[in-house]
Amino acid sequence: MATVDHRLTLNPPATRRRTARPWLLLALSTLVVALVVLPIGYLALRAASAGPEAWGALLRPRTLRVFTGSAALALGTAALSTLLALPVAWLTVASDLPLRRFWAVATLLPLAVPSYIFGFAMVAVLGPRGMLQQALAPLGVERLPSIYGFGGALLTLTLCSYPYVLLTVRAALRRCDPAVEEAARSMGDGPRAVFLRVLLPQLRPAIAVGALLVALYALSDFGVVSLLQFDSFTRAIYMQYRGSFDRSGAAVLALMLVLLTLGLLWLEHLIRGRPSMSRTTCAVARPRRPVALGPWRWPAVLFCASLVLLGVGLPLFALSYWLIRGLSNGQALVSLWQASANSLLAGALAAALAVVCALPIAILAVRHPGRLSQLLERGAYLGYALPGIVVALALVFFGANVVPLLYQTLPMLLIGYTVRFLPQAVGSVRTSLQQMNPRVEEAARALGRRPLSVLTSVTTPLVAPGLLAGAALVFLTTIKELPTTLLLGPSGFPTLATMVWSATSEALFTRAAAPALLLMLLSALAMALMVAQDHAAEEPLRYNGQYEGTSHPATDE
Amino acid sequence: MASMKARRIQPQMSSAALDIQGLTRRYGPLTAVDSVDLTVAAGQFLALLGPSGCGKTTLLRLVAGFEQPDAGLISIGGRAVVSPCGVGLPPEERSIGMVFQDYALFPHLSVEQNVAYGLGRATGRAARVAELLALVGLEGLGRRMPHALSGGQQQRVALARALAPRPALLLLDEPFSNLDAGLRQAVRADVRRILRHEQVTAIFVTHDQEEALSLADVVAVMLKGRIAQVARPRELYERPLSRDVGAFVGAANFLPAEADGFIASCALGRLTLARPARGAVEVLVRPELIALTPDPRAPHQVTERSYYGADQLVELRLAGGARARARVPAWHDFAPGDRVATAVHGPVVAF
Repeated sequence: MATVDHRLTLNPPATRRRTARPWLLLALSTLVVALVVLPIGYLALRAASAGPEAWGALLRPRTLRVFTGSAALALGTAALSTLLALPVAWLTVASDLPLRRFWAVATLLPLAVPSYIFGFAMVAVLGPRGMLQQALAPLGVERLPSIYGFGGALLTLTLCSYPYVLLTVRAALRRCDPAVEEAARSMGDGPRAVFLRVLLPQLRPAIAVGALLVALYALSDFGVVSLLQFDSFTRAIYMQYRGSFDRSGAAVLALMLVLLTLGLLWLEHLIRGRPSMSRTTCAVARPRRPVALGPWRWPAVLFCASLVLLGVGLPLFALSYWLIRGLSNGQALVSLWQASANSLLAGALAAALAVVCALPIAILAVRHPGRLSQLLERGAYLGYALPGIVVALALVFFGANVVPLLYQTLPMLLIGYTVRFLPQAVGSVRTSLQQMNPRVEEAARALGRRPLSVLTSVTTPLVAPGLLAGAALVFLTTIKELPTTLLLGPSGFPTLATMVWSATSEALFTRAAAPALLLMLLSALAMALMVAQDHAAEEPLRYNGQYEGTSHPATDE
Repeated sequence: MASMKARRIQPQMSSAALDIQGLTRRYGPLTAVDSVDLTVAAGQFLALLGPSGCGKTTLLRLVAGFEQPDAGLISIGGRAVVSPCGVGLPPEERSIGMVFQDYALFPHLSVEQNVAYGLGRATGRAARVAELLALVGLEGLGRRMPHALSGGQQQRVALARALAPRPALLLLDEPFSNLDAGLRQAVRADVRRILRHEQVTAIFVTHDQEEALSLADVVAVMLKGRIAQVARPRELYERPLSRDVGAFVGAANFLPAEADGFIASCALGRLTLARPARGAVEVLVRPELIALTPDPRAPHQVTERSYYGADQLVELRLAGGARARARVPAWHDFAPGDRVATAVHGPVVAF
């Protein structure tokens, strides 16, 4: 009898035991995500509670002009970028273009140039007192056609952002199975018909995603439109913010921009989420045989070369020219040290803060996947997805009204950077955590260590390279960042980015050249780092093989 | 009431190094571990044997505390680590050692530091590390980093690391599956010697029945989330309790038979039964129990032969049309079409 009794108590109902929730991680992550989400929510609140005159401003002709101008700029940049990127993608993937690999890399390089440096180059070369005018002055040319306004902004933004289309289309083109095109040929289509009827339809989703990315870029960019004086949303927000005491108008405009951005992001999500027209054959495709360009080879090379010349050559040339002129006048290095020191300080502190904030979110996402951790991770991306000027403005409002003690101080600037660039740190930490064998942590637990001790003695040393990479990435991006620095920086705190911007606004090109060159180098470094990390992100595949116990350790006994 | 019962169980448990009762773990609709009862005596080396997906690794991880059960009790060394009120101790308080399938050595620590990791700041730490490195045959390699070791060496570091804090129970998850076949033999023998020397109670998970039979004191066969049989290797192989266990552990011929007490009649003749049975049954005849002699007048015929060097596997069509396999020494060459007479050595079991 007694044993029967035992059984009853020993087999209790099945529902009561579950894994304990990682409360500490959840609490820390929620705190960080609140830091990101609250200011933006506050902006919405401010805009909603703005007086009728602020909302009335929405209907003013100027607002309408800003709206249509922004839309036109975004659409135009997307269209022009697609027109440029499509042939380059095809040439570098599917043709026998001479030096194909070189062009494949060189046409992506504009990604490494911050947009306001492009703006600087444009103004410094083609502006009213720019290099071209000075070169033509002996011929009696006093004025060039103005590069300010829509045309200049369109051209500059296209040169900055066409690589986004190039990247997506190129990736899609590589995934297309050449056998499908051969099948079309075998059924009587000529090369042109194959391109239009078979290849282009397969590339359409990639083109759409790339074009949307470009439109988002154009919509959120502040550097180019402010330097080329085109009234799009970001510039209008900035002017409104600087120009009037009532900042609700800026809030209303910013909210409109947020809605527009979220709309485009949603559209992108839809396109990406659709079942892709991927390969239907299961076998690995044969490598594509390059199409012979024949007599078109040299025009094709000329096309790529002029793109690279404009996208990379122009800024480099402008920078060097004005740097040398400034050096010969002895004024190039004015206050460069102060700005560099400020940039380094703010960048380093922001990097440290971002990594510390990223740790709990990344650990939660990798080790405790679930709906809540996913939600928190998504929340952390909000500041990254929205235009920098909006995030900065939100923090200005929040700071001025909720925590006035921090308003216009270095800590506030650091918080701004963290809100903007947290996802970069989360991404690197996440990648290195995923590469780590979770059994190693369990081994430490089995050997008697508590979770916190495991974190410090095993996890942290193993993900240290990822932490460092994340910190470096945030550091470099922070130094480049313009709108956040402009709006949140303490007064009398010039950085390299604000120096380039203000000097260019005043057409003091010799003063802008040295910091701009420094920024370009740093930004190239950031890009190299990101590429290296993308490669690292593919590593878990290799690790899995070993984890499954299918492969033997390489060395012999 | 409940507490009184718990106290009454206590003395019963103290002799066992591990005691599991009614342990259940579900993943959605799937019951990975289904009300398992298992007891391991102190000093025993138990193999948890089962096909992949039978829940054996989940059971091990439940004991270790890396998974939480839906129901059931676990006690280690007489101490409840998952108690009736549903509270489970975290892994670090269970006094277990674990050797992982992929070893999970700390890649940023040297061999010495790996082994010392679980020792805390105890005195005699260095001596214990040296003792273990000597025991596993890695003297002089203490300063090496894990990546500079071969697979077999890594395995021994993992073992030394798990043994260092003198755990009450050592858990090994498929410990030999990452080693190549030649190395596996040597490492198995080493591991058994080391475990004997440390007098530790250990459980190892494996899907390899040969490994389980040759290495363990006791084998627990796990099928579809349940423990099907716990027995010493020889008993398990010769007297499986169910047809499933008999089929999983080793090669098997199942033949229809008519049983009467300790005798069963089938196509191979009248066989002795290990356990009495009655009526229509199936007998399990291991292939190596069947001896063959060429005999042109015999009713059985060879249909196929595979030659393995040390022995050969002969496939037969028996008198009634049933098929069977015999594993016999290779001194006589059998060929398809040969007529053979059979003899069965030793008792068989019926189901």
